[in-house]
Amino acid sequence: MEHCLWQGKAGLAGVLMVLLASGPALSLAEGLMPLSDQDLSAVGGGEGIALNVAFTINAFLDQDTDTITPIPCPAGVPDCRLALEFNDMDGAWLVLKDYYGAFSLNRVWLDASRTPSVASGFCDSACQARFPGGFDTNDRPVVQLSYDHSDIGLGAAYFGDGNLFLEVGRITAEFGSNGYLTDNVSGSVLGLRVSDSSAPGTASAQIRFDGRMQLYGF
Amino acid sequence: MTSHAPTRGALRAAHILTFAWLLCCAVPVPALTALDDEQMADVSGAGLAAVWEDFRFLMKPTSYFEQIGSAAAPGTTFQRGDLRWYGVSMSGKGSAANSYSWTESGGNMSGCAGAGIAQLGCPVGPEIARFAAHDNPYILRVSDYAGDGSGAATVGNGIVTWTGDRDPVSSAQTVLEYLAPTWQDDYRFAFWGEIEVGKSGATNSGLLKSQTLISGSAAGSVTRFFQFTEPGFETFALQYLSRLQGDFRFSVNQAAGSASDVLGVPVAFEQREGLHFLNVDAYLPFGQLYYQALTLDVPRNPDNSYITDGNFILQLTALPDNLAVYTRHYAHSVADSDQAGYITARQALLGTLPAASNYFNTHGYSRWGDWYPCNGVGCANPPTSPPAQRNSYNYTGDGFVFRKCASCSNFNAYAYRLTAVDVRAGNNTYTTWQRYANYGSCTPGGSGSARFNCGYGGAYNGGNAVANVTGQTDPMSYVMNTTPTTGVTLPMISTDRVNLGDGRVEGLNIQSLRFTSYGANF
Repeated sequence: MEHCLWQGKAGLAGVLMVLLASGPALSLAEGLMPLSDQDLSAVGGGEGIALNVAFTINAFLDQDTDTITPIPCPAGVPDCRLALEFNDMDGAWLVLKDYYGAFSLNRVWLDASRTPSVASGFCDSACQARFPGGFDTNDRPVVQLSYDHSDIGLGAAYFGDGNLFLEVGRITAEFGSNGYLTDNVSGSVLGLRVSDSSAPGTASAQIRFDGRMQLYGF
Repeated sequence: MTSHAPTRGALRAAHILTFAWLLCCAVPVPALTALDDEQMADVSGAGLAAVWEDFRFLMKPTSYFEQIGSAAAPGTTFQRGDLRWYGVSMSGKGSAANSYSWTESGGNMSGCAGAGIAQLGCPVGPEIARFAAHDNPYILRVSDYAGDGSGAATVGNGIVTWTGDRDPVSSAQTVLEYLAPTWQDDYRFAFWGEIEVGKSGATNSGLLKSQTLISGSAAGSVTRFFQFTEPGFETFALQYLSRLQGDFRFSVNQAAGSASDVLGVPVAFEQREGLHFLNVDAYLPFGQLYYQALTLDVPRNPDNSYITDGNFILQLTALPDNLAVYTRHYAHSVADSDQAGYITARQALLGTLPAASNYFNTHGYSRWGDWYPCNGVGCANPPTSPPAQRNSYNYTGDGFVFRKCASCSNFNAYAYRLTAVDVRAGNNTYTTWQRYANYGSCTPGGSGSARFNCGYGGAYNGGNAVANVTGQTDPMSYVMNTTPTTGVTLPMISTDRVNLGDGRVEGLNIQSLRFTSYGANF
C-alpha cells in the first residue's frame, strides 16, 4: 500500500498539518459525492498517512541522535516542575521537580480499517456484558496505528519506532497557596529517570512496537 | 450486573476524552471507509475500545527506568540504593525456536534455545496474536455505577459511600474506568535489573544483575478513577483490581560467554536457574467503590493539620467505621455462625464456599499451584496410600520450584515435617520435630490421628530418589539456635530442582495500607 509520508519533526506542528490535511477528506466521507477507489488513489493521504510525532516538555529532542537537552526555565522559578494540588488538599502540593522529558513516535502509520468480520472466540459472557445490547464488534470501521516492519525481521535488534526520555529529579510535598513555586524541601531520595545506558541522563530510551492498534467507539 | 446508563456529564467527559485521545495519538483518515447510519447509531460516546493484535512491545535492552534522587535524609538508617530496570518487554509465549535473550549479535537479538520451565527460559518471544481481540478489547469508558435497579439496596449490589449512604440516586458517581480484556493470549512480560547499594561516586561497589519473567496475563484487571466520598477528603481516588494468572521466574545466574559486572551492559541469563512460582492465580482488590480508595495525602498532626516536612503518602484508605460499609464489604451470605464474614483456604479447597456474593469482590486470593488433592485435616477422605497427583520432589508443573543452572552441581534437598500446634482451649502442645517423611518410609493409619502419621499434609513424593547421606550437619541446630551437630546421617535427595509444593491464600482483605515517602529532607 502506498503511503504519503509527513516528515514533520516539529511535534505539534506536524499534528496540526495532518489535521488540516484531513479536513477535506472528512467532508468526502459524509457521502455527498462518493469517489471511486481510482479517484481516491489520487488524493494525497487517502491511502493512509505516516507521520512523526514528538511531545516534549522543558526539553529539546534531537531526533537525529535521540538525545535530550533540558531547556532553561524562566527566571525566578526554582526549577522546571509539575505541581499537583488535589481536591480537599488545599495548600498541599505534590511537586515533581527538575522535570523534563520527551516522547516521540517515528513513522507511525495511520489508516482506516475494519475489524474482522467473524468473532475471535475470545469474548466470553463477561466481555459481552461490557457492550450495549445489539452492538456488533465485527466488521467495524476503526482507526489503525501500525508500523512498517515489512523489511524488519522479528529477531532484528531494531528499536527505532519510538523514543522516551523522562527525568523527575525530586518528588516532594510543598505547602502554601504558592507551594507550586516554592522549594522549601530541597532533597528527596525519590526520583525517576527513563534513559539509555549508552549516555545515561542524555540518551532517550528506544522502543519497538510490532502489530497494530485499532480504535473504535461505542 | 450494574447499570451503565451514562449521564450527560459522563457523555461529555467521554467525548472530551475521545477527542483528546484522537488529537494526541491518532487522526482518522476516513476516505476509504465510510460509516453507515446504522453503525453511527451504535456509537453512544460512552466508551473507546482499543484492539491490539500481533502486538509486541520491546524496549532496547540498554534502555531503562531508574530510581534516582538525592542522598538519604540524615539520621535515617537507609543507604542510598541505585536501581535500574532495563529492557521492559511484552511479547508472545511462542516457542524456543523464536525466543531471544537480552544480548544481540550481528544486528539481531541473540537466540535463546532453552525454553526453560513453562517457557520462562528466555525473556523475549514473538508477537502476541491476540493481546486484545477485536471483540474483547481494552476499554476506556465512563459509567455511573448506581446499583442495579430494584436490587440496589441488597448486599453485594448498589453503591455505598464512606458515610454509608446507599441512595442509588443521590450517591451515584461518574467513574472513569479502564478495563483489560476478560480473556487474552498468554504473553511474556520481562525485564532485567541492576541494584547497587552504597555506591560512592564512580566506584563500583558490586552490581547484582537479575531478570524477572512472567508468562501469563493480567486479563480481567480493572482500573477506576472517581471522587472519594469521605467528608472533608473528597479527593482524587483510584481503584485497582489486580488479576494475574500465569507463571513467574526470578533468576540471577548469567550464561557463560556474556557474563558482565559492568553497569548498563546487557547479559544473557542462564535458561534454567532460579525461583519459579508456577500456575499462579491471584486477585488483589485495592479499593472499593466508593468507600475505600488509593489516594495521595501528606502526613498530618492529630488535629488534621499538615506536617510540612515534604513527605507524602500513598495510601489505601482505612475502612470507615460504618455498618453499611461493613455489611457490603464483609458480605458473606451464610447464617450467623463462627464462620460468618470470612472463608478459609480449606473451605475454598473443599468447595464449601457460599454462593457468589460481594465478598469475592472485596476479598482477594493468591494461589500457587492447584494444591490438590486434599490430604490434610478436614478433607473428607484423606488417602492412605501414596497419592499419584501430589507434586513429586522435582515436579515442574506447578507450585514453588527452585532449579539450579545446567552446568551447576546437584544440591541435596531436605526438609523437616511441618510443626503443628494445638491451639484449642486447654491445649498448648505441639508436635515433636520430625523429618518430613517420604511416602515410601511412612505408613498412615486408616482412622483417627493415625491417618496423619506422615504429616498433616501427607508424605512427600520422593519416589526412590531418597538416600541416606552421611557426614551432614543436623539442621535442627539452626532451628533451635544450638551448637551445630555434625557427622549425622540424613535422608536427602540429590537433585537439580526441588518442588516445595503448592500454596494457597484465601480471603485476603486489606483494611488499610499506607506508604509514606520519608525521603524528603531539607
